[in-house]
Amino acid sequence: MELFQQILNSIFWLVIMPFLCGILPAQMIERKQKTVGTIYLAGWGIMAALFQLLAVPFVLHKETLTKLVTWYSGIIYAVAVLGLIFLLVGILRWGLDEMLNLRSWYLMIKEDAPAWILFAALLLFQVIMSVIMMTPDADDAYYVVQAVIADQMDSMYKFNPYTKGFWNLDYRHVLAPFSMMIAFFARVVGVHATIMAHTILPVVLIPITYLIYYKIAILLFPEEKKKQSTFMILIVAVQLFGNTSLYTNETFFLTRTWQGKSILANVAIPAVFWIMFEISRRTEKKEIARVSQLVGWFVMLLVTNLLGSLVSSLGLLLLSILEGVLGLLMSIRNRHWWILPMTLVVMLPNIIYMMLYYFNG
Amino acid sequence: MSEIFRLYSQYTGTGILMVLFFTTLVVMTLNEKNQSTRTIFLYGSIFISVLIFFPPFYYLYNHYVDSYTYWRMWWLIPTGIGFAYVGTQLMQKHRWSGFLLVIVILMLGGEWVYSGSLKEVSVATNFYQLPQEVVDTVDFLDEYEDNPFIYAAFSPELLPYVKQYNIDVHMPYGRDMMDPNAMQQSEFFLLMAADTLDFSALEQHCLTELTRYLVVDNTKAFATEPEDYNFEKIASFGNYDIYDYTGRDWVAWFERINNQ
Repeated sequence: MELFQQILNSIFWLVIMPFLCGILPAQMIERKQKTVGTIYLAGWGIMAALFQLLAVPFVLHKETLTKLVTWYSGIIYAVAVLGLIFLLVGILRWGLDEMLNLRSWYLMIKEDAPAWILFAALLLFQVIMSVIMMTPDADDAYYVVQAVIADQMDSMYKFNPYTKGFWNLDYRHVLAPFSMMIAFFARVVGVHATIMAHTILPVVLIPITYLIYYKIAILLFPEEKKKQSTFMILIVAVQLFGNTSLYTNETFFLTRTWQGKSILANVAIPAVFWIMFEISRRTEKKEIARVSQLVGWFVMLLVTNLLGSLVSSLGLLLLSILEGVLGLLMSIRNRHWWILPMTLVVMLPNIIYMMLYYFNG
Repeated sequence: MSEIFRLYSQYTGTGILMVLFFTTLVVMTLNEKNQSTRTIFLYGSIFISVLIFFPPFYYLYNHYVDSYTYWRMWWLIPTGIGFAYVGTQLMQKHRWSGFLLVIVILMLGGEWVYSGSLKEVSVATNFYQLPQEVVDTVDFLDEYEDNPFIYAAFSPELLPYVKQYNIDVHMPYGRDMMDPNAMQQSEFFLLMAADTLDFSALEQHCLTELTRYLVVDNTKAFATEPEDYNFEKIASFGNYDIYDYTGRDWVAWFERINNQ
């Protein structure tokens, strides 16, 4: 019964809640883009962003995990309830199919079923392997243990994870408190934090990564469904055979999936490429249609920056460099000078966290 | 500059992914007409690659960030996306044979992620995905020990996993001792890491560093016999034996501590 309850809780917090939370931010994107996948990604983004904004001050003020869980759950429930209301209103107004673009999934699979079945089999293989195989990593002695300490001792970053003595706050990790998010999920699902990190989170993170690559595939091949499936299978091939050194993002993706740096390399950075590509497509011409939707994509970029900050302190710098370069190139090539300043504006959280780290670290 | 190339070489390993990626950049340069694709994936990749190999940038990163993580800059280069994009364009007319060709190329030059050749990969025997010896050892000590906390020193290779399972195990040294850049090395750790275990020296550390149990690798040689120094073997799991140091009256000792 306990296992059944844990499975239900996992589905609720890792699938249903991100979906409901994603409905509100997805309102800023044009309706035909508002697929189940985009909403789910937006939901994870907004959950991560809100967690980062809340957790850092809570940790710096030496609050308990229970207090953080209470406040964060309250905020997430509010966002989810609003999302649910929007969803119900949207379904009543436009119908479920129109609201969630369900038909696009059917058309996608119908166009090229064998390739999508192959992709789905390969994805399922990776997810199953993430559960049944173990790839122990020594870095977990810090990150996962901090999550365990937070969940069991209700204390965030106040104890040395190696020996459990008291120690001073370590700003490098405190400003990227992803371990506390693992502790949060462990607490609300009702499992040991190590099980949450190693066994449960990869089941969600691996499909999320491929969902982002699929969004990129749609942008690269907007009318060619068969090329989209081909692209996805090639991405899988690279991931499965990309273990050419201990350092590649492919190695991190399948052997260190639950670690913040892997999420940076395999979720946040590809998400930046996806979003910048969306912005570039909309600013290729001199006249920009639907400026409001462009704003929505910059908000998604802001959310991605907060996600990057949450999972890795180095994410602050790496995402800033990537967005700075792409923003500069887009400003020049698309001849809209304001793209770079707008990119810098949404990088503001990164800059603030970097300053906090520099002056305290 | 040589240091940057050394890091590059370390990052790429066999090099196949970067070779394929740079090939795709050439193909994109010659064939790609879409403005956004060129901007984001072609010019973006070239700009970032130039930045990575630019010595002043490396100097600034090394000086103001740290010297251990420069290789992560290569995460900013979309190798997988670029390769998959160009590969899709090239093989669309012969898709399934194209897939086979790609698999052959990657099998020859790449590395199967589950092979375990670079990173340990094994079948998980518990939901924690931790070595079973750690789980069994800690569970045994939890049953055996009457005190709420377990005071134990572990063989170094088990250190990263103990507290991931149970934070109530108090260790005289932690996983940070395994870092070659550790500020201070624990003598206790060095004794436990030695190829030959000296129980006479270990006894001194058990007394002075509040350690009741030793979890040792039983494939190592013993310079002295554990029984001669008040160590009683109480269990064995896989390659690890657990010794209880009986040279102190732990019951009375913990009673005194708890009453203070």
